[in-house]
Amino acid sequence: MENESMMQQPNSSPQTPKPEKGPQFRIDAEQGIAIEFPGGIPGFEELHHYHLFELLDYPHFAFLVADDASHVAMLLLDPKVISQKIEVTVPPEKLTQISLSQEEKICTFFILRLNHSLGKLTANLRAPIIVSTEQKTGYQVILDDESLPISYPLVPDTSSASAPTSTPGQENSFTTIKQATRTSNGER
Amino acid sequence: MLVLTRKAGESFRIGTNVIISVIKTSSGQVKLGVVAPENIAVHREEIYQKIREENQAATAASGSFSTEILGQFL
Repeated sequence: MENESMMQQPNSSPQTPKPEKGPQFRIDAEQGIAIEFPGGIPGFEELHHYHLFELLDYPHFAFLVADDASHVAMLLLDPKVISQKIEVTVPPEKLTQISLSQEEKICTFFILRLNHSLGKLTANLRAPIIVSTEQKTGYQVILDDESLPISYPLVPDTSSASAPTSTPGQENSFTTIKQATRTSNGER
Repeated sequence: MLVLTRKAGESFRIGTNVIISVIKTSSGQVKLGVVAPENIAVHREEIYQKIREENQAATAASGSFSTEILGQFL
């Protein structure tokens, strides 16, 4: 049920009534990218196959849904858009740990959570999701830096309201992964 | 659960390439050294559990994200 509301028709007009339950945003169900998580994700160690979806109206966000358990769905944030405020780097030894070479092109995402007690959106900076754009594999790495918060409250940047952090058409992590798909398909 | 008794300076091996050494014990604390292949992540159990719980909470709340909340970050 939950899945159906999530997979709302991408071409539905803005007037389409929003589902009472389920995320109230649109995704293009056709454009999902299959990502394999060889080691699973902590809490869902048994799930290895996911699809990554771009949110049509919110280019800074992506939606990660498990293939075999549609209730396992997470909203991800492209850290590029808030990088001026948050600096999180994945050290090379962490890449080695997940069998990625340092030359590997990766995209980093933060898992977002709607924290009801805080009434805020929080991002997990301690354990980002890393996606290899070429291999289409994903990992959640737990960084050793203990100063990185697991629940970092996101505050809308009101000062830049007139100057958006991203312009339409600008590359986000999702388009990077998508383009890598095209490239590798073309080479074959 | 396998229970081993080790003294400081002694170690034990898990599989062929993971070695855990007892470096020091003092006032109820044990300092351990871990030698493991690069592709084996080593974390304090409570950190791993925190990340698990956070992931599960993030998943449970993913149905509540609204366009209003996301719109603030456009």
